Amino acid sequence: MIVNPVMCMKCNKTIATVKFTKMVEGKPHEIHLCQNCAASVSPYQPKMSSLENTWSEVLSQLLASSGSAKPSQESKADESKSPQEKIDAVCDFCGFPFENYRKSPFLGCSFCYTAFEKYLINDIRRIHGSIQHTGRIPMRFRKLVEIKRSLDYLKRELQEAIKCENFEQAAILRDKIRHLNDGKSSGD
Amino acid sequence: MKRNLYSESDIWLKDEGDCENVVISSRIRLARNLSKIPFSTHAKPEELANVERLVDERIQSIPAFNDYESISLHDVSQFTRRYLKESHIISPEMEKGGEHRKVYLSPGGRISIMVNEEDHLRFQILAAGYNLREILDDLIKLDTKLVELLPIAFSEQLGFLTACPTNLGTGLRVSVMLHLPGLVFNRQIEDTIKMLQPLGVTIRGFYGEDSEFTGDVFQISNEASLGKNEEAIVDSIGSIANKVIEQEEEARMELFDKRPLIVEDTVWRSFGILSQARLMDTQETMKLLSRIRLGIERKYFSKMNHYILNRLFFSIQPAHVEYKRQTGPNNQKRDAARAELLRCLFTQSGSDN
Ligand SMILES: [Zn+2]
Ligand SMILES: [Zn+2]
Repeated sequence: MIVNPVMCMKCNKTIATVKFTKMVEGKPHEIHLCQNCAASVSPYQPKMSSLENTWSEVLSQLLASSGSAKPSQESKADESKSPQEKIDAVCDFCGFPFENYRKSPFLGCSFCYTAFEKYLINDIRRIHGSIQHTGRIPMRFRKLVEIKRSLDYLKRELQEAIKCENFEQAAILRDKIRHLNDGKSSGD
Repeated sequence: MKRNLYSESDIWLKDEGDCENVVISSRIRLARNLSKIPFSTHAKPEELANVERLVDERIQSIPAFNDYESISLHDVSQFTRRYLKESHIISPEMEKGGEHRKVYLSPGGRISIMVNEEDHLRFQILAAGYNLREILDDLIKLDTKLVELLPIAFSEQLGFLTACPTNLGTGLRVSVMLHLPGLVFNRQIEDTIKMLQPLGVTIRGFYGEDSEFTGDVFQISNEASLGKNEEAIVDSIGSIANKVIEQEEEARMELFDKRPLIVEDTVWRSFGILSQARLMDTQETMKLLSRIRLGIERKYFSKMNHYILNRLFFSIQPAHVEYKRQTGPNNQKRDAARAELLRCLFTQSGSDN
């Protein structure tokens, strides 16, 4: 887990169990609250008085408390169980220390994703609900992506074949994998 | 500036789009980074310069970009940056300026390419009204032209690699700007927002940042950019927007049905202020224009239409008024100039000027 157990940002007394992500200037800002305080800032307290009253005031209040926010409790639960030790990892390419990512939502360079993969992957899954890109692929990567995806498929098939003791099939798959691997390294 | 940037950056708003009674504008943007150069948030000045140079070379080599205006945000004034932000051409982040930050702008302002925002490249297409599929088609063509020959940071698993993990995958953010006075008036807006929250949608105000919901304007956009492909992300925001449009139309119907006199009174009161006041600030103007826009639905104003009002939401913004009336950065002068512009427009009961 990436985030330290945080104290509630409102009362500062209890460990936060609810996290809101609020977009400010297009960047996510995390707001951590305890169960009690989270309930007290619930955005749905009817507060409207008259028609002439400022709709946008009420609404911006709603935004300020949680508007665009989405509580994600599931990840917070185990974070509070395992206090986070300092991670000393640094990106070889750009020198970005992983600890800085805990202070701001930005990474240093594209290689940071490889360098910090194991620390980032849960965050990425929580943000997107997925860790597999299925969208467009730039031309120059298409061949490699194709090979990688075929390899992944063949490896799954191979495991299946071995499990079913279908050794003839397994041998064929192993050859195909070897062949693809050779093609990949010469393609680089 | 070679051309008149100020009058040109808002031309895209004059196009007609679908669902113009509720949708003010649509926007899709893509985030891309060059491999082997730190993200703009952490790059050294010489690395930012390198990004700028690579992008410049690429853009200048493509004939399709010949008529784009190149604007160095470091060299132009704070006023110009503000104007561009008000026109939604650059992001609030780019409004701050900074060395090696640049925007390429298509004639009419529909397409802009930002260099060295938090990502090396962020390009967007804007359109008036609801127009997502057409924007996406054009944006993908632009992406192909622009990035195929650049060394773009990409991973098979995480897709396009971005400075902030929230933009991974497609690097795509789609937003639809909706005018929802019916739902606000009817106090159903909270239910609508509640309905949207679990759907992976971000809701923001006019400026897309932490802005208030001034003028009952709401922007909805996708939260996740990884896992679904471009079409699926755009379609899902499209169908969510459609649901909100439906709710808004029902709310307006109900309002006119059940409380016609109250609505009529509110609209005409707003008209009264807009056509008589001597000092108008942005907030109040947005609020009143929202009500006028609601009245257009019932053809209260023969010479007004939704498009005129859509443009007004932009043209009454501070830098826009300051430019049009050369008021200088004086608040009271600007409020007076805004009031005068509005009086002119509304005493002619809505002739288009
Ligand atoms: Zn608390
Ligand atoms: Zn790095």
